[in-house]
Amino acid sequence: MVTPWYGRHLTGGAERQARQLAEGFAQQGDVVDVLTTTARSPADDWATNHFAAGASVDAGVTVRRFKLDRRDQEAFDRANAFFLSQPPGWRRAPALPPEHVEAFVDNNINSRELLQFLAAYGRDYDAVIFLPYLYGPVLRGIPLVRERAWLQPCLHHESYAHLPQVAAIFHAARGLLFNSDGECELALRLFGPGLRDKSFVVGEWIETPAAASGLPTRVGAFSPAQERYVLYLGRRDETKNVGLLIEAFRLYRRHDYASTLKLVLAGSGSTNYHDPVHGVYDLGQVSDVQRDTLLSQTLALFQPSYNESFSRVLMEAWAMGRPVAVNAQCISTSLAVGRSRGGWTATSKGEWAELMGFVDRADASLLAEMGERGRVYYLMHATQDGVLARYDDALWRAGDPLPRLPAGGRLVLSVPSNDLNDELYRRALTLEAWASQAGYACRVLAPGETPPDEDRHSLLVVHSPDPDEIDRALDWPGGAALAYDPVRFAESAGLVSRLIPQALLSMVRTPDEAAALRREGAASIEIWPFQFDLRCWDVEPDRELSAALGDGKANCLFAGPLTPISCCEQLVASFAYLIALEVDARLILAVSFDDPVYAAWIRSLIVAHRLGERVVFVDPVDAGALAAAYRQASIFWSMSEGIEPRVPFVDALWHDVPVMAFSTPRIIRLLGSAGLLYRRKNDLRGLAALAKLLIGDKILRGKVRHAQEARRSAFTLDLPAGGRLVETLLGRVAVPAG
Amino acid sequence: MLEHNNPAIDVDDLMARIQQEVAKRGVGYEPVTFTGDPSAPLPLASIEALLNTAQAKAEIRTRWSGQLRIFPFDRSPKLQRLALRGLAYLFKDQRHVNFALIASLRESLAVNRGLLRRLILLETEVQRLQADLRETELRK
Repeated sequence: MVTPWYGRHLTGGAERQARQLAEGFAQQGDVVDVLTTTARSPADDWATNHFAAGASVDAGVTVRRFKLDRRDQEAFDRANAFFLSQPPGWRRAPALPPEHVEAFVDNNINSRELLQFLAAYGRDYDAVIFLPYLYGPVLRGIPLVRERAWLQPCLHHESYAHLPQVAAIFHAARGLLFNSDGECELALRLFGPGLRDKSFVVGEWIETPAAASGLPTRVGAFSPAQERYVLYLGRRDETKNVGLLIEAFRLYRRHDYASTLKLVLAGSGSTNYHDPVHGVYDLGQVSDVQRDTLLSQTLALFQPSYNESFSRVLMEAWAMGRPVAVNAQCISTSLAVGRSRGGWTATSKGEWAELMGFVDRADASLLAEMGERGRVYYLMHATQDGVLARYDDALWRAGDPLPRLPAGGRLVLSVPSNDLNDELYRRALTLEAWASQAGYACRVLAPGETPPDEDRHSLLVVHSPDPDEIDRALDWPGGAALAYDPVRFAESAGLVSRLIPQALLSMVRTPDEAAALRREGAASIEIWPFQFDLRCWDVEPDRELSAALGDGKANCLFAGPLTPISCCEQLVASFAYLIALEVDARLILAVSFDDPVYAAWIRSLIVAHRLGERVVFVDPVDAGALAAAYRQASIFWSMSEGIEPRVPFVDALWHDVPVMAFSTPRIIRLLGSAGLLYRRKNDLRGLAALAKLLIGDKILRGKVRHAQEARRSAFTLDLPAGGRLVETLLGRVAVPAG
Repeated sequence: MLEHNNPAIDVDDLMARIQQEVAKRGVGYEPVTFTGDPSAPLPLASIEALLNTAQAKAEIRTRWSGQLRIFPFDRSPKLQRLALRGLAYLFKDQRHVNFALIASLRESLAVNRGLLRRLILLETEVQRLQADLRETELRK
């Protein structure tokens, strides 16, 4: 485990979790080393070697401490002040000033000695868990052992999460471990859908609370059993939104001056909010037993913070059977409350005040019922055995730390291009990912590449309609399978009809295609699901392009082949009207130039509309550039009347980009209730106005995105399920081991 | 024009809003290039961040720096406290100057922010008027 600070003296969430985990693994018999620095705590100087360097054993865990590097604290503070001054709400990050980014990373807590140790001995460990995400040893350590690096980010929605170095480690790590569903959701939103298959929600456990009968009756001068109060537990400062809670409480008391409800605050922090005249009791730091006493008697716990990856106090309240109120803007806590139904959510001061009134007037049995629901959630998610079992599942059963050896056989996949909008290429990538999961060794050939001799006895799966590729498949010693597409393979119809009867397996997309192949004498046919693996998006978005596209303009994206059926001339004209509607926008065309004449015409239209500076072409072969385009896109806008490709729509859904598209029967079937679909294109001004609304109207965007979220999982299997599917499919064919 | 594929979206209402948007620009408008956005964030965050740093550093130091672990201060917390008090007293006037400067800069920043906003609005208005003028000339 690699963590910047370690020890029993630490009280922060991530630091406590690191120790708890290390000791938990050691208790169950794992050999655990902690690589940490000699720094004392996050609150102390990050360049002062408080502990001696070297190894020691603590509770069965070998703790190896390494000396700290010198740092320029002033530069770090300047950069940090900049990041703190950024509003936390932005989702698609603007470009961050490189000088601040560099200063933050270079002058963070760092230890060269730790990194040297990791580089030298990191590969001796089966798994290396890094936590939390924001500090030098983690930012610089993960790339050194990426094939066995597991990042436990303890991620918050804060400006630091938008640093390019942070995105890089999320993509570089072999796997990601999250404390809550909400934290995982946040990571997918921030870093894209490519993380999905390597993300595991493991949770975090809390110590079992003491029985209520053994608890003291007083906390200082405060007698919990004799009071009616709502409780805030945690750091008492503005970063946890305590000010809002107090204002809301005062607002409630002003409205209901006869109320006897009190607000009790307990936890660390230097600001004192004690104001008994107005019902606010600040008890300061309390012991664990005092905390349990307060929890056992409270009407409800109020947690207004919007920066939590996993709120321990939430689980502590639920463990005691008390309901909770959380900030609706904090994904982690609000998702937990939504799923458990063990509490409420609020955002504005008025809502918090209203909630206090509700709790004040609520029947005790109702509060107990909600608390009980929370307790069930706690038992399912926050007990030590359950959490460690989920770690075992993720670390050991999700696969070996190194790529699997060929067990079932060997596949060679030919592809027509590396264009990520090309359905055939994406089917090949999906087959590769799922087949690897099922134990097949896989190799995707570059377009036109001749496979090496050692692969001649592997099964060749043809995804390319190139006549040379099909010709090669006809004489392939290891046998061939065909990933069929009637439109694309039409150009090599003669060769394909020779290949079909001798193919060991033909994979089609619809029953009609299957019937057509049967007529041509195909021996074994399987309908391949319209589902795609998302690992191609596990790449760091192109930094320069991200910075350029993140300049505040609204980005309208279209992806697909630039052919007449894409109707890009209508898109360009409508986009010009969008500009006229005073929307500061950009059109991103992630297109392949399959038709040079049409492409030239589109370019001339762009010039004629004087949109040269507002249209950006992105190469769909470049995964980093395309990822940047999707990450920065405000809407996905298609005028296409073609039936293909459908993959970019799926990608847009997964990148959470609202789709606005011309409605064809196939698109309606594909998107269902997702996306904003229009039937007529004769009013380009109206379409521009629709685009303006979809870009700027949060409520409309929310409705579209909500429907898209529900739709997208239909197009994606998780990796193990995909592996099982491929195993069943290829199990019918004797795939040689090569 | 729109599909009723998403029951959460009121298509009739959306159509009315689309017509409103188009009507706002009048009949027969042609695309013009717009470059300013009055709602865009103003580029003052760095100045604010620097002021925050200045304010944090202007506070009285209450803790001995880890980098000043020199004899005899590293031996005696009392001595450290005494030295810190001495420093606080010596730089009392300077501290007042610093705080006053920071406060005045904050005021100035607020004024600048307001001026920038008005400038952007005026630019936008000028662009809109120019576009309208072009349109009127074309109609003549």
